[in-house]
Amino acid sequence: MLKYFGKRLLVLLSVLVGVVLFVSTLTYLIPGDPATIILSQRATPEVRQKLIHELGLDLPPLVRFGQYWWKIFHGDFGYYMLSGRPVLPEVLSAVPYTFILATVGIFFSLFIGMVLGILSIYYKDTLFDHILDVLSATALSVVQYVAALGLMLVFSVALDWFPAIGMGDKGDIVGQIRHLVLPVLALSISWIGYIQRIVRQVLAETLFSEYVKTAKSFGIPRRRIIIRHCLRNAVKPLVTVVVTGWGALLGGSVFIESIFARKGLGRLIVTALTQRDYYVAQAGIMVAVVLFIIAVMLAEIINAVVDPRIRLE
Amino acid sequence: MKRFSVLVILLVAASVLAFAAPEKVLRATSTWQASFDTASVGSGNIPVHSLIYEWLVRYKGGTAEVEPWLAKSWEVSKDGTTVTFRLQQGVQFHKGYGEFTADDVKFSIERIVKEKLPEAETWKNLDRVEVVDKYTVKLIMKSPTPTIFTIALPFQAGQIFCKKAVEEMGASAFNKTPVGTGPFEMTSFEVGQSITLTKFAKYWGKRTLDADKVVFSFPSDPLTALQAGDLDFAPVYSALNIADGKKAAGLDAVFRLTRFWWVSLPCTDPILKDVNARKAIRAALDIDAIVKVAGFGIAPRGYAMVPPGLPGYWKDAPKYSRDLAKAKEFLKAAGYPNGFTVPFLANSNTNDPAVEIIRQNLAEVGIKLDVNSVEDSTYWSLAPTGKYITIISYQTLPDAGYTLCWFVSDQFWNTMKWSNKQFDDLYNKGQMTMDKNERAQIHIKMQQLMDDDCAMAYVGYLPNGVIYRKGAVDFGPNNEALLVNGVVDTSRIRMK
Repeated sequence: MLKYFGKRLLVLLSVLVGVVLFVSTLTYLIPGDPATIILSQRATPEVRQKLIHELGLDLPPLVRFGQYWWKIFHGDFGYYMLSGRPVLPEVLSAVPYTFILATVGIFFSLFIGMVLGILSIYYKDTLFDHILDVLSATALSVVQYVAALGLMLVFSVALDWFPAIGMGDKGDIVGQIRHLVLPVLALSISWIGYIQRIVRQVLAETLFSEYVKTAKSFGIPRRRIIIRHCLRNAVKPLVTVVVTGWGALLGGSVFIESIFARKGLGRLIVTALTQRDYYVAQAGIMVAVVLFIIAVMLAEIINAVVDPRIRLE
Repeated sequence: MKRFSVLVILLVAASVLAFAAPEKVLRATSTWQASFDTASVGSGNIPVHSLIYEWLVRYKGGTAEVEPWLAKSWEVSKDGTTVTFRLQQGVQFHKGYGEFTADDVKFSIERIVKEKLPEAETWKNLDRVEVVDKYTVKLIMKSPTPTIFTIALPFQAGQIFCKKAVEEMGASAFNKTPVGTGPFEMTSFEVGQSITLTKFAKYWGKRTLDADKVVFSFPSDPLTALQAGDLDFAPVYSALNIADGKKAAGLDAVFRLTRFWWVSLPCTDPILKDVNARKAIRAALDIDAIVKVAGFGIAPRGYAMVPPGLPGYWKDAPKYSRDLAKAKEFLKAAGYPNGFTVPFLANSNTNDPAVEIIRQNLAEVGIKLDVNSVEDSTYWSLAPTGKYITIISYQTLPDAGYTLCWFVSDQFWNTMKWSNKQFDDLYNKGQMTMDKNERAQIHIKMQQLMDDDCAMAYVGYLPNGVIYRKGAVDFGPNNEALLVNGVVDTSRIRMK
């Protein structure tokens, strides 16, 4: 098994290098230079050229790439272009906020999705089941940023139940939870629909299996059969969905973070790209890819632990 | 008895806590902060910087006049080259960096020139700054400079830094912990997320803004955040935002019309280098329609670059109206009787409806636009290249020279790449003319030259302003918290 994971790690590391190289190339190809964007209108061509030279932007692209990777291997991820602040601490400081949002979001989705999936199979082919089917398909189609804006307009502007922006003050746990509610809901809606449908499908398949028929013939209650015998088969696909979904959310929460003005990795990357702050953008993307790789590895480990058949294979 | 005493103490403590004045927090947004070095960044950062830094003189109550501030008085020498300032005494810098003195004035202004910071252009006529004594300082110019009190001292190039803080911390650290003499000091800064400033206990002056804390955040949709009650005000720089703010329930907007708005006609384009081709475009445009649609009922039509009310306003500027027959005559004179195709640059972040009107107007005379719609940062990189027609606006200050300086030859932000030696000579002359009337005439003549050459088609004046929650804040008599260019000086806001 160690050999298996070792091979997987090598593959994923090469994915990391490939992704960062590709994204770095794209970043440098975006028109516009940071000097024009960062400096005021009063900046003369001499001032602009001075900043371009200081930032090394007048070097050939291959030289810049080489210098960048040389510094990475020595632990230097560069500096913010105008302020000179080191990049890596700022990027890493954004990760916990995205981590909290993604973790709470995905586990909230998992809980609600599983409950709804179990209920829909328990009341299979009833009106309730059909309603849930329509609702989950709708939820699956809802785009996160549309959900975010809708939730904000209803619950913040119209009802004033929850704040629209920010993360709450440090030390104010209740305030921070209140600031988390709408972003988590916006993130979760489509995942709830997705998880509900996966759970329902897996349970529907296993309800017709031989061992379930045997359990029924022994008079075991239907509810117990579903939860104790059928649900275990849903664990493997759910683990994959949840863990890779979590990894995707770590880098893909940019819309939610931007709309709700929350600090986070996604928002940091987008702001850096807008400002052509290349070092910040590249460091942010690298961190996001590493987190995704960790999530994928985690999914494989958990599946191997839960499902002995994988270990034997 | 003991239990009773404890109960009484607890009740009293609870009452004190319940009735203790809650912290007064002003919540706002601003443009993204690249740096706290005010001489290096755009004026959109002034809402934050105006709380931290101050000036020797400042604009008085939303006008172009100045009043003493960190300088309590000044004298100008007979030849107009030297200004001697007497400084306020006992003014303290934040974070225990001591008293503000003449050394800080010398440092703040000279570093801009020595380090060639972006605002060095404002001080290009400076010879040196001389410290006479602890509270007296002289600005010695190479020649009389009329812009000292119009755009240099009361704006970005004149904000005062603490010499000791900058030298001790270094530029990189100073960007995280700026030190000034303002009524608020920065206590936390999360990149792209929030800036928190708290009341500076040792502030020397009389406070207008009575808040304990000011928090700036950067939401993508400030209007919704205002309506949700999460912000008290949001500076905005577009007619659409102002119009939305005025219509939204519970919100209102104040603004000043100080951004001149025009269609830039690239003068080095192979086709448009012919003045007849540019005149054809000007004659084909329906400027009234553009103003009506893209001005959102806020922006008025204008016929000259310098806005009304400023010295140098050209009130007799020709009032062009749409004339398709004339446009076709100009096209024929340019050698393109059936029209031509030219590239056009549009900013996809603003979704400006003017772009479609311009496209349709010009199509009627056979001029086809190859529209390149790009995101905001790319737009501002490509606009100065002089390769595109574009509809654009620049802000102005209470000095027509500032408005016109962008169009001297070889200026980076001369989007038309228009070059006229007489214009350049007049500009240089105007920068050294002290007589206001004579200077105004020079600036009018400059606008005439641009108009004769049809380097641009004037559209109007766009607003800079603020959307705010009614009942949350007040901007003072004559909206004095809005500087003369519509950018907000947060230190002059009153909380309700």
